Amino acid sequence: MAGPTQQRELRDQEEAVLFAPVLGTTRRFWLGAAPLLALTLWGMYAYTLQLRYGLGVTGLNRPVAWGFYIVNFVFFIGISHAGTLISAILRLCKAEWRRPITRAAEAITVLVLFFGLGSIIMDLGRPDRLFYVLQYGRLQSPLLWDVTSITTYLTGSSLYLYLPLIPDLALVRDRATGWRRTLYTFLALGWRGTPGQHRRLERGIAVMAVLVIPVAISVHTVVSWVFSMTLQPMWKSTIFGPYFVTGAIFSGIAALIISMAAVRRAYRLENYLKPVHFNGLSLLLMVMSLLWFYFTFAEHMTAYYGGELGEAMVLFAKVTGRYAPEFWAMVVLNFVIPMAILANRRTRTVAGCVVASASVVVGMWLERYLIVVPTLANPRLPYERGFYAPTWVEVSITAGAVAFFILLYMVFTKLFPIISIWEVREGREGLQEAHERMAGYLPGPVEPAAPAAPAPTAARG
Amino acid sequence: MERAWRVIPLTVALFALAFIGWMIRMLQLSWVRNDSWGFTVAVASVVIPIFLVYLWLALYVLWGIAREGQGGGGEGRP
Amino acid sequence: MRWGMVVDLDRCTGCQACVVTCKAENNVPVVPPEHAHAGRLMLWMEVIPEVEGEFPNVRARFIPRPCQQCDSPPCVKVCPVQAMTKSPEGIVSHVFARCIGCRFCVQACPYGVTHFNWQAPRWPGDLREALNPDMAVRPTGVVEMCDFCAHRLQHAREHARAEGHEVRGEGDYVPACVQACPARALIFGDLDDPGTEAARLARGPRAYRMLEDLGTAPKVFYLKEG
Repeated sequence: MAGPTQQRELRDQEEAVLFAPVLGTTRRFWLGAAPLLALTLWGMYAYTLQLRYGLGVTGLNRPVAWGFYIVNFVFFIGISHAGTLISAILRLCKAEWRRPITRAAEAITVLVLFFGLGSIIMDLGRPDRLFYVLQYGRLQSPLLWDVTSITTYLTGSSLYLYLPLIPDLALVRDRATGWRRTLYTFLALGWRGTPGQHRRLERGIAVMAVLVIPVAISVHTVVSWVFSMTLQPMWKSTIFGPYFVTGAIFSGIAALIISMAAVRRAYRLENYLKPVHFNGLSLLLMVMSLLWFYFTFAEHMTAYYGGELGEAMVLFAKVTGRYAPEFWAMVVLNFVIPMAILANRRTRTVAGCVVASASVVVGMWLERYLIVVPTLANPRLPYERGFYAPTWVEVSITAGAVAFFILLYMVFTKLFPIISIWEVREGREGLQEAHERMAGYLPGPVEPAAPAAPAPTAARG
Repeated sequence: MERAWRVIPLTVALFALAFIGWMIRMLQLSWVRNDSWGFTVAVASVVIPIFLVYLWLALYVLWGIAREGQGGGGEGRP
Repeated sequence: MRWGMVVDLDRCTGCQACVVTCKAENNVPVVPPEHAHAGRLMLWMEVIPEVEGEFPNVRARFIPRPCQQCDSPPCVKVCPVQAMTKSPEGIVSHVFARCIGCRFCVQACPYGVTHFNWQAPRWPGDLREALNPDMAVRPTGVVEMCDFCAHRLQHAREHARAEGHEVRGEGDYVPACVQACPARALIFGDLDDPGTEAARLARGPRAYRMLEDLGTAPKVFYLKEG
């Protein structure tokens, strides 16, 4: 058995790959970032045209006055549920396999929420009057519920990202030089790993893990209520809350899998992000796919059976009419492909998970589109049918937003370790404890630990 | 630079207070305008406690960690 | 006092005088042809043709559709900044200076009467000279809709005060479309005053309202063909 110094050296060798992206940048990074930056700038240019000429540069009209931007809003907010599920729920369930995943998940959440907010600001006819929402807001309006809930969630998930980041910031601080060292010293809040600090930190994380779950559920519920509190056909549905939350978690896990696979490849983290982690996440993805199918089926079956005129028009527009290609593509992308790939262990490889996840991400965007546009194109009054064709402005802005999000995520991985180093260490040191806990589930008394487990403080010292 | 450690905890605390202040303003506005009082009270009674928790987090957790980190310099191993 | 309108579908000839008058009275912008085809026509009062049957057994009907001025207006409920309001006399109107252009009211209205300014409004040529000084001109990016010519109600109040009485439920104030209709298909008045013609017709056997079962309680009543 290697002595403590040798153990530490081995650990440092192993962990070098976690620090490498933060401490230096390869040319590959710039090569990857350049096209994303170009796409981002193109999207920004398209938006300046919209600012100059008004929303007329989009394909929006009467009655389809909401289109790509609202779809993007719901889509991005949906992806933000990645962090909550993995981080908070798995933490509360004491699932050990969440350790290398939590940071990536929490980062996605915080970053993508800004894009959700940005999407809705882009949809406003008068973004210069944005602050009227704060000054003159009315809490009877679902949009105000959105503002409140998303602010609460953004604050909470930023805190929930920051708290477990502090010990890692201290680790990086000790290895960094120059301006980075100043930055990390500032951000690390003087972390020294004392028992007092640990106590406070763990208290904070435990409280946030519990709090952030109902907040997250409330976020996508109120987003769904923007639609279901109106009287429009197939929007006025009581299950929109759970339906949207399910869809959000579904798309969130998919986005997480893709980002994990990407960083695994780019930063050579195969030692930390193993097939077992992808297996766990993709089993969750499968469950969410089934749940999503269940809700979608229930929604459409109810509309079909009752045959209420307004709803029937929207339903048939989706299933057999103008939106049928998108609808069936959505079903294939969200259900058929993921289930086919993930139900079979042999295809449930890392690559298989990524393909299934990519399919889900596109399928879920289509799902948001199919919620917004067909209803608006088929109003209750039978006197007009609408149509909607996005212009290059909307497509460019959407592409720019996605590119910018990926870019910001890449920058995040450059500034902060994408895998929570101290939590992985804690996992290793806590193996005995975890073993005892699991032994406690079995009948009979728990046997005391064989070799004395090192005291928690000493292990972290 | 000496006081830099206070920035993050104070920013979070001030943001939490600002949000609670905004909620109180919303309550006042809805009372004066006699518009959506029920909704405002319902939403405020949920989010104000949440932001009080954030305030606690800023003061107990963040401020506490930072203050403990001050005694004895910033070096150390986690 | 609740201002309501009754539309006699038997009398409406589809001449669209109400449409044109409304546009003139309320400074509603003109849109270029490609926008009109793309579903961006701005018609606060719109005459919708409803055609049933095949030639030669065709039945055509014309349905003037102003804002239905609901008593339980979904547009007011969903506006985040109180840019949609309902006055104590039941007039649902829009505050252009407050609107942030989110178009939630456009989506919440089951009748589709809210219009959005997709671009800076323009009035080509001589139309500029014909702008009504009593009515605001809206900028780009805000919503607008029929408000039963509430500026005319303002005038009527001032006149009535000068003459020393309250605005009467009938005759003192009518929206421009009601005034312009050559077939007198539009009747306007106080629905709460049982003596007015509007109230009488609204209670009659021919009266119905659009999408009545949604619970929006519109104050525009339509008289079925008798």
